[in-house]
Amino acid sequence: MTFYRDRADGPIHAVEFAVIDNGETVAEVKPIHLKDVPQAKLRSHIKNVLGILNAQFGSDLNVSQSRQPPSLCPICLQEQKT
Amino acid sequence: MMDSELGRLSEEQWQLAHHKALSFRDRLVKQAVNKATGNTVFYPELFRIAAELIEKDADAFCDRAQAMFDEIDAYGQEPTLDDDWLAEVTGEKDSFYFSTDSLVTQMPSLSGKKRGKKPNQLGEADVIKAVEEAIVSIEETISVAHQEDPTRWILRIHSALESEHGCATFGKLMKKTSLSPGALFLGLLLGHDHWHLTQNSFYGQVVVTLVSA
Repeated sequence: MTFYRDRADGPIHAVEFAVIDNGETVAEVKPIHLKDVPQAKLRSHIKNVLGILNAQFGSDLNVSQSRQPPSLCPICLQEQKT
Repeated sequence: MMDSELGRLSEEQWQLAHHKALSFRDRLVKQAVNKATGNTVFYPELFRIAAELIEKDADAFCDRAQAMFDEIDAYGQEPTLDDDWLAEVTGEKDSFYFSTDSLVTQMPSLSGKKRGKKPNQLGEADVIKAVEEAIVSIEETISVAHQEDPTRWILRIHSALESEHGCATFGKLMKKTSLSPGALFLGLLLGHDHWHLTQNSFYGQVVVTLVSA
């Protein structure tokens, strides 16, 4: 679970998910921008995605979080290219 | 100006509300009839079910209102997440709790080694006395050193070396001169014009040889 934000406790610009097995990415959930998204909706989004991934890959899936600066947000980078 | 804008229901809104109220009453009566069998009395059961349904509707209305307020608050903003909630999701437990009962209040005694007695608390007078004694002892040491005659040490070393045919080890000189190691060492250093010191290896003996010999 990757949060794009400047600070560990700061506002979250975007979130994306990746399932990594033995260093290889086996599944990805596209990132979404979180502007205008209330905290409750973000929580339910995270729970929904983790629920689906747990159903697909088993409930022993270890969930960890990482942080990247918003300047590396894949959606923004894609928009800049086009 | 329309009635709805004055806070009153329009004809259409009134019809809709009336229809909802009727369907609510039908639903309520149906449930009460099904449950109010045997010993249960019909009307108390009807009001109980009505209260439950109204509470449920009110909760749903409040939840919806809260969600709308949240959306208004979130407008133009990016959300944050509580660390505690994230820790629950990820299973990361970076906080720990401990009981103050487990805190060590006394250091365990060392086994096999007796602890020394605690030094007595010194009063101001004791400290002054100790300092004065220390000063006196330093002065005595200095005066004794001045009373010693290094020339006498050099002469004794010289005569000892001559009796040993101009060459002797440090240990031999100690015996011959009967000087303390410190005095012998100082004498050798101060009278370095008369002899030279050699040491064949790092751990070897120091040999003093008379220059004039």
